[in-house]
Amino acid sequence: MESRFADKNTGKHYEEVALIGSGAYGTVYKAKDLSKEGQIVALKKIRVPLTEDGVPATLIREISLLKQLENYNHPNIVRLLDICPGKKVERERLLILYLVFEHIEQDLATYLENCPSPGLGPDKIKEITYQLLKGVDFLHTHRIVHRDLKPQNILITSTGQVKLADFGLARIYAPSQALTSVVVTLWYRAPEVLLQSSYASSVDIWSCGCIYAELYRRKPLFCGHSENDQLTKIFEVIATPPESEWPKEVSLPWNAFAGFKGKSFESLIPEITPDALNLLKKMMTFNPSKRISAREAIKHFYFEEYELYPPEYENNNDNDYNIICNQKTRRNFRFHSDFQSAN
Amino acid sequence: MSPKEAISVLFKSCNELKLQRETWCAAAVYFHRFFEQCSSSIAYDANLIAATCLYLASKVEEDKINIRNLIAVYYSTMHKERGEEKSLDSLQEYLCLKESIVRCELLVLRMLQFNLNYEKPHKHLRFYLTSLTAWLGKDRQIISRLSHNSKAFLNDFYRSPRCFHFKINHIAIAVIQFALECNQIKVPYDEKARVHWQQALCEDITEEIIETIIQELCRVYEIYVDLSKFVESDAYENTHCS
Repeated sequence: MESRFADKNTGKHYEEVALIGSGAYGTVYKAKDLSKEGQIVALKKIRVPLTEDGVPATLIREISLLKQLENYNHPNIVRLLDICPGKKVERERLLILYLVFEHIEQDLATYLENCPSPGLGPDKIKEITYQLLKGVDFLHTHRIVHRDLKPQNILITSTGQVKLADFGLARIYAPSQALTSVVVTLWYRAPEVLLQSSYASSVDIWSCGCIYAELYRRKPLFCGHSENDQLTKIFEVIATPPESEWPKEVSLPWNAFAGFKGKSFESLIPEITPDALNLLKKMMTFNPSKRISAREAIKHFYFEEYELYPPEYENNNDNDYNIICNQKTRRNFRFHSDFQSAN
Repeated sequence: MSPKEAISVLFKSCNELKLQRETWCAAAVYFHRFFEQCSSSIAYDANLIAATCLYLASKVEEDKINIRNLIAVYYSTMHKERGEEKSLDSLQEYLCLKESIVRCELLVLRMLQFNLNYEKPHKHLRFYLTSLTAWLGKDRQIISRLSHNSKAFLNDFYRSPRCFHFKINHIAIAVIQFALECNQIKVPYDEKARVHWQQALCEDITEEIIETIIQELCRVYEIYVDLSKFVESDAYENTHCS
């Protein structure tokens, strides 16, 4: 990437500061927005092959969907600030697009790494999981399946606000465009994906379940190093499902995994409370049609206390959200208005 | 050619290509947004922009058109508008036009900031008409005239460069009211009603909003009827020729 680029149509000006990382699909840079006093942003570079007929229709639809989501300003979704076309590589018929996102320093993976013993504590875990599910529910409502939820693309602000990133991009980057041979992690993959069966939005709930358990454990729940190994690790815990629930159209036979008795989640997460365990089990259900949905999960009794006092964010002038942690002051302050709106 | 004339060619090409009304509408909105956004110091070829907007709209609305068809139809429609009979025969010229559209696509995308979602008022109109016709009695002729006229007005409204400044449900209500007035149809008991049909169907609408939209629509007719190139348009046919 050129270290600086400008868009003459809008007068936007970005200057690269550092390479954040290169994933399976492309490269992410940390950059300064020179038109906004050097505000730090995250630039995601994607390469789009131009066809005979110009920009592929699917890409146009996906990107305008991402733009449309911006109108909702959802607190648990990373902000897409701008989309900039970069240099066009004429000979290769390749278009380079930069998606400009708000930059958040920390992802959930580093957050967990840096967390001192004895861990996050049940309240913090609940708050993070709730926000995670809120974000996922928002995506599902807009018919977006994330498909690659993992701690690395869940961002967490200094005030504890959770924001999902990297959604809706899976369909933008065609699989053939995977630029690097980065191994995509299997740890958060739902069994139906590992079995290459058909799948739906429920795959995200499985990933949420894995992440939820990881918040307690501060290490991943299932660390397989191949599809088979990953499935084995899963069944060692949740037990082999009855043959009737095994998807029909898959190449891996049920026999190959038969006989796992499973073990209790309590043995893996001793400190988990009964309510929390109940939700976790519903998220880690083998049969995708029986797995809890994001909407149902939000309403689960584990989150009962949020029904009246959901975690709140306040928009301050820096366009950043702050979570108000002090429940007591909020309760006193909000009681009157809550009462009115209930009528 | 001015934007005003390009939009005429755009609509006629849509008709020729048998595209859905939603696609016409999206193309027109992109076109108007483009010209509102761009600085007036650069002279863009309005026809190139219009054809590109149409191409983009067909992609977004999944109302697929072949780029070759699009270019051929737009080309002949444009020349007809200028009073010439001409079809696209030269391969050289075709390839050149195609290249221009593909290049222009990126410019339009950038200018619209990749935001191509525009909800169309057509389903609102359909819903409002169904609700309203239940009140209007059983006269089939009246009902079909009302629905035909309001759909035509809605379509013509998108010739206005300000079309996307209004809320789509407000547009739908206003075109129905205009069609009622043109056909001198009265909604029964509306004078005595505490809530008029407009508010009953669409809570946040006011008379001022309806009036502004109707004025905008009338301005469209002034412009295009004066040009005497308006004969093919739906509404003109319906209100004046039938």
